[in-house]
Amino acid sequence: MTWLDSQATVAVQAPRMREAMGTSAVDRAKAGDVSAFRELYATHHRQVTRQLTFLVPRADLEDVVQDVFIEVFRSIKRFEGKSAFTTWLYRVTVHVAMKSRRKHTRSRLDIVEEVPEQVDERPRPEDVSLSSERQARVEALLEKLSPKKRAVLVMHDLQGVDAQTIAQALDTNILTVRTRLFYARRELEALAKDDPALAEFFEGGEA
Amino acid sequence: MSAHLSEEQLEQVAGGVSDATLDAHLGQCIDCRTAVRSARGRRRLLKALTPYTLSDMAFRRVEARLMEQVEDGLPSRWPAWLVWGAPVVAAAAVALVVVAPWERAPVDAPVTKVAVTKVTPKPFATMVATFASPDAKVRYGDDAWRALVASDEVTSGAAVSASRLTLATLTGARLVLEADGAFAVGGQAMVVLGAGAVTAAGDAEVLAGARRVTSVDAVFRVERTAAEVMVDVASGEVLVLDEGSSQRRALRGPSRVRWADGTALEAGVTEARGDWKAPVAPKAPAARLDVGALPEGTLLAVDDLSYGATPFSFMLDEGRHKVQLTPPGQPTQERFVDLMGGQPFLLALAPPAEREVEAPEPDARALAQVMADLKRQTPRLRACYEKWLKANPNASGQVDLVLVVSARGAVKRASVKGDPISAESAACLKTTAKALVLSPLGSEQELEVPLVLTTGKR
Repeated sequence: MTWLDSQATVAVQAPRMREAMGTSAVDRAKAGDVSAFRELYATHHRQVTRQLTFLVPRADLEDVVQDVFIEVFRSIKRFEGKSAFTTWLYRVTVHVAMKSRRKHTRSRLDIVEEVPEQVDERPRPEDVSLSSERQARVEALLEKLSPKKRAVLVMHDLQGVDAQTIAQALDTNILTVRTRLFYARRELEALAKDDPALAEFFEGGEA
Repeated sequence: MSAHLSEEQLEQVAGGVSDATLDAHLGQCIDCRTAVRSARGRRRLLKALTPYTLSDMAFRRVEARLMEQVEDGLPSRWPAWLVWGAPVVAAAAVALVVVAPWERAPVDAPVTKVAVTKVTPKPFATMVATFASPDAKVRYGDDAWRALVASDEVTSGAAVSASRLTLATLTGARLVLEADGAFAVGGQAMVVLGAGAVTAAGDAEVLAGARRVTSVDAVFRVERTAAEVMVDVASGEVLVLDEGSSQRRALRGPSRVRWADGTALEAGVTEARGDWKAPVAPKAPAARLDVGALPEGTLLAVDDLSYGATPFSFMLDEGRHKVQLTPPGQPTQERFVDLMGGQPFLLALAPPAEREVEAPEPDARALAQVMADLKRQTPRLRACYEKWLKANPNASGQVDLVLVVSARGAVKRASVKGDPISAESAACLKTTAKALVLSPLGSEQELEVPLVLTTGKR
């Protein structure tokens, strides 16, 4: 069984050893070496998947991970090495995630891939954990946000990415990121308050 | 302190950071206390979410499918699926005319009629010209002007000019430049406005003088003259930022405010709204219609929309379009063309015989073999919903399993249509389908496999 690690933030810079190996594989992949591309997948697929969590619906995660690496293979010749490969890969991941939001081919059941459960036995400060139903409801609320608002909210508030990095990944500026974040937060709060199953998170005394 | 807490201060308090000044304000401001409570609720909610991921098996499946695609050669960026049993019409066959490359005449004259406005496309999402009038030009810095045609790329720092020009990104943003120098923006873009007007729908940012106007899903217009900036909001809300003082002011539609240069944001004059229409953001065009083979002066209309007389170049959406050609002195020809993404379509005066070429259907023998493969492996699929059927003995209905199968017979994607079974059974069907072993079909196909649910005797 595979366990998720506890790191919730996005690591845009990979460890030195991994980066060195990645650089070599990148050069070979740029030259068309298929085995190098396999190495890149092996090195980065989990990180890409973490970055896509909540950015795309659960049911689409497998397909979008595949799409990311297809785009990597298509575009890797344009990677000039001015930034770290992981930085470039992150921008590709976000770009593909945003594009995937516009694809609606067939209506289908919301198939849930069997995923390993993350079991954290440590007591949480607020002593609140989401049941699977509530988790599904929150994920559904995130789905209701526009793709751009959802992306900024997920990347900033869930993945802990700073506004500057988000701006670069989304090819916009910090002001736009903060504006979208502002509206996304207000919208999510309004939606959650209207859901009887989630309203209790907003109850409590005055600030 | 301002009338209310800023967003940053709200998050600071909601996150538990103590500050005497902020606490004192909260003691007197009900609105801010409410906002902090909402922020705390949102933070608790998001913190309680459990990230989802893929299983090791799913990662191996993705790797296998990737390697197969990489080794086979990646498909076009805009793949067209072939549906089993529903023939797809490919591009119409037209005259065998070899067209000379689109010649770009050097253009020396600078812009005289149209205001030059700097376009700042996103460096990652390539800007492509999808429509260009014959006088469309582009230049970078102090370089000479050169002609700009559809399918040309425009990158950061470009200055563009045309009586009509549409720029697009792969993400669907549009910039349409009209004859008076105005841009209509439908989608995500940033425009530095020298003079003229921008009409925007969607996410947009316009820098006009010292005012930066940002919106999320608003419909608005910004006009810039020598000494004034006007912002007219039809719907939604925009934020106006003064670049010099960093003051911000939100404008909610419908409203219209005008500022003289150098005045504070609060000094804007409210006035009656103007009469303008929001731009319509079309679907992402993906196919170039090449009209170079038509006689000069041929009038062209596509989908009942007149584009004027050739020569010009433009791109359209994939799919079927009605085209009407009226060469000089000749009657109008009308036909339908089917455009496929990534491939230019040469439009010429048609010879009498035109036929639409249907895409080849899968080989019948190969299909029969795949049918036999599916039939042989049906028990594996049936096992997914047998338990559900036993628990629901009166249930009946049909579920369609939709498979995307590679040329080699590997199931690349599987989805389930119909909802008479449980989510657990549907998930099992999808997982099992991806592991099916099928004979090669010779090309990628999309198959629909109906599964009739019954508790009758086998």
